[in-house]
Amino acid sequence: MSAPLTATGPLLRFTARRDRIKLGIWVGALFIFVPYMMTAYQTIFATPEDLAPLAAMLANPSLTLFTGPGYGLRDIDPATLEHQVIFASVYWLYMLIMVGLMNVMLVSRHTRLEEQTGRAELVRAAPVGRMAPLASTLILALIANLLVGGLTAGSLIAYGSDATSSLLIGTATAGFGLLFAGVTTVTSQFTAFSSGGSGMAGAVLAAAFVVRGVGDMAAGPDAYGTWISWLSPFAWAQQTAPFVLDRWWPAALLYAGAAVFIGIGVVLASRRDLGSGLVQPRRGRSTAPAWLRSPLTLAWRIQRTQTTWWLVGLALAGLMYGSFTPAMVEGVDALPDLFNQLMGGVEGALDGYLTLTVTMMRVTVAIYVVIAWQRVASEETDGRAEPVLATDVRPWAWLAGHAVVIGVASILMLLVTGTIAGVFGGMIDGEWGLVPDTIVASLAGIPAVLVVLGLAMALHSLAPRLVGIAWIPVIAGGLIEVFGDLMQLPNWARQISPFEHTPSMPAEEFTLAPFLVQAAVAAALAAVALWRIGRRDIPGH
Amino acid sequence: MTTVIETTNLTKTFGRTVALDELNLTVEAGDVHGFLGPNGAGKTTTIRILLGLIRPDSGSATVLGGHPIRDAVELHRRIAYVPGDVELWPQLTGGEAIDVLGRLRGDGDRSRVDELCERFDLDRTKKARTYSKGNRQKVALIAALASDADLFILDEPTSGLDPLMEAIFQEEVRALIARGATVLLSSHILSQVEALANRVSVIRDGAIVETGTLDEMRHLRRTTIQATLERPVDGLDATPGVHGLTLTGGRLTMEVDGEHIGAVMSRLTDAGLTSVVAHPPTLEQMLLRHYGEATTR
Repeated sequence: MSAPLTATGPLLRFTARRDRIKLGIWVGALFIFVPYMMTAYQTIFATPEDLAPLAAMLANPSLTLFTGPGYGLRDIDPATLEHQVIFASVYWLYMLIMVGLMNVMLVSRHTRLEEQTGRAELVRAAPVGRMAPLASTLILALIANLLVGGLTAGSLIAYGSDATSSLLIGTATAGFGLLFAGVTTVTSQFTAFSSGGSGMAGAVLAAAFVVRGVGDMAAGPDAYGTWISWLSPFAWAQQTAPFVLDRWWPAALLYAGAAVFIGIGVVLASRRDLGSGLVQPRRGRSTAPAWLRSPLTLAWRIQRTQTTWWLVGLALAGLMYGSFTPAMVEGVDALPDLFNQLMGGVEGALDGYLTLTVTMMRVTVAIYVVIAWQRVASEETDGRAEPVLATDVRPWAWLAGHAVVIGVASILMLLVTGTIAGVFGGMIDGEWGLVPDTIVASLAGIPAVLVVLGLAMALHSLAPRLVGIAWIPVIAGGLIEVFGDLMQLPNWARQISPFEHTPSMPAEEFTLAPFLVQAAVAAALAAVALWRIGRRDIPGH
Repeated sequence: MTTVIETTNLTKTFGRTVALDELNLTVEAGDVHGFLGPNGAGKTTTIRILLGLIRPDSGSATVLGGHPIRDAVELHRRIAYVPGDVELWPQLTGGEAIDVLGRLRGDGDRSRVDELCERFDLDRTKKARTYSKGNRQKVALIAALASDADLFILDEPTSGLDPLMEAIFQEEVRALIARGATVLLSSHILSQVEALANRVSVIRDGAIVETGTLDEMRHLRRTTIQATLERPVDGLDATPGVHGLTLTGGRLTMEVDGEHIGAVMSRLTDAGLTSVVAHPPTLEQMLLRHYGEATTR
């Protein structure tokens, strides 16, 4: 029997070399997380006394969805409160999400994508063991996770944190990453396409986030999570309670879980053919439907699946945010001043929460716009646009078809999420007037989202590979909207966010001028893109 | 003579699609074995089973005396493979891709790679993302030809190459045979197989429908005759062995079965033959008969 791991070493070196830039950026960005947060916090909240009110607010059960089970935030001694406690109980959650995503993409990219493109076939036809590509990928993931975990622990220690607790955070972070490397190993076995495997793994990550949040919220102010929380791997990391209990055994669950998933993945992988999925692709229709006859309808056909899932996901997220509305409103009544600060000086908890929901949805829809437009860019870079443009379809019409589909879909998403949020808000006191108000608030985000769309189009019209630059204002904007007030960012810095220019409704009044200005900017960007696309080369495949 | 590849009743289905239906293929050592069939006939599926990349539902395959899956690593040290659709790592240069594939095999021969890059006129310093299909194919071909493998499995290896490169490819394959290697050459480009192969297996709908030397197949086949006559010949299309008779601008074109050529020719001579062109049967015609039958079924 041939050794299934033959040539794992050379493959690992090859994979690591190819991935050095992408993975380097991931690890680097995650490394900066702790120093950045610690520096910012030590500047803004210089003394434990400054920090205590923040901890008190963050301890509110209604916020646990966005933080964690609450270790270290309750019954605190304001004299000894440390910044790293806030990191462990609040911001660590976001680091874990990013580490999870890093692993989902890493594993998907080096296993299923290689098979999907056929490059794995060239490799496997060489004297390379059956499991060597998977093994080398998982070893690379292990190295990346240990690096992230080690750098996190190291920077916490460098900022004067307790060494044991810091190592615990590092260990759990690496374990969480490995677990999602394992999850992706399993999900990548089902379909022949890397987007299927990474999509499923991403859905597991999102579900784990929601389950942990719901479980912890159900615990109330006296407990730290419920049995529901423990269904989620997020709890296995956060329940280690660094700086409070320093429990190691929940972290062991992460490593055990990783081992189980990797084991299942290996068994499934050894039972299927190279390049195929466990699920056979469905057959489709033999002829195109009558409506599929223009650049616009072709764009819709290409974007349909992705867009539909986004709409469903956003509706579910809207239901989730909405169902928290009563808890939020009650919980925050006790802490109106602090909450007002978080919401940018808003009167009233309900308006504040609805505003937060609407803002989050605007950011999420903008994320959809960039992802959807990256699909358009791949249409061109992968050579699928070429045969379309070789017919009598003009480049601007091709671009406009996709722009209309994505633009209309994003407006629909804002409408749906605004309606859901408004209905839940109206249920609280029977104030149904909130429903149209919230819908209008959500729709007021249209120009902001369209600016992102216009930017993606304009970048595409320069070169399809530049579309990724559109992530910068979206991610920066999202962070500014969520953390901007806490970070006390100067006003000019906040202007980077496309979401900063339209009023935060319903808390703030609608004003027409910024709405029109942003709409004009979006239109100008789109017009430039439509003009420019026909004047540049369509790169060959 | 030793058998290098032998499959017995190889069957493989993908969902409801039957890709291979009891396929029996035998390739002897030292042959260039042409593996001919149209798209979707099962050529690539067969090759992927021989390489141990996929497993058959039933039937068995033996390659170089070993089991394609159990002995994969040992076998792959002795096999070089060129896929029909070559995808490379976009951020690597062609030269890097050749080296990586050579090193994974463990027998990269630098001077041989240099020579092959020269012969195939490949710019090794370009990133693979800028390569055309033909250049990607050259990379995989060079990586394979530079190896000291005993068996070369080439899946439509020159479908992206121009005729000049095709000629160089043919020289290289002859050199492989001269040093005692065996080649399985899958193709639907018939002239290529005709130029290189000494044995041919024809695959249709997942089964081998014909196998033998080119000469063995030829005697069964028809010759195409084009002729110009002084006088018309009556009832020529009713003559035994004549098929597909057409008359365009005083020029007759017909296909004639091997055993009736003498009789047909004497009738043409009687009618005042002024010019005649006779083509030997090409594999094209052979295949057309097979697939023609398949499509009219």
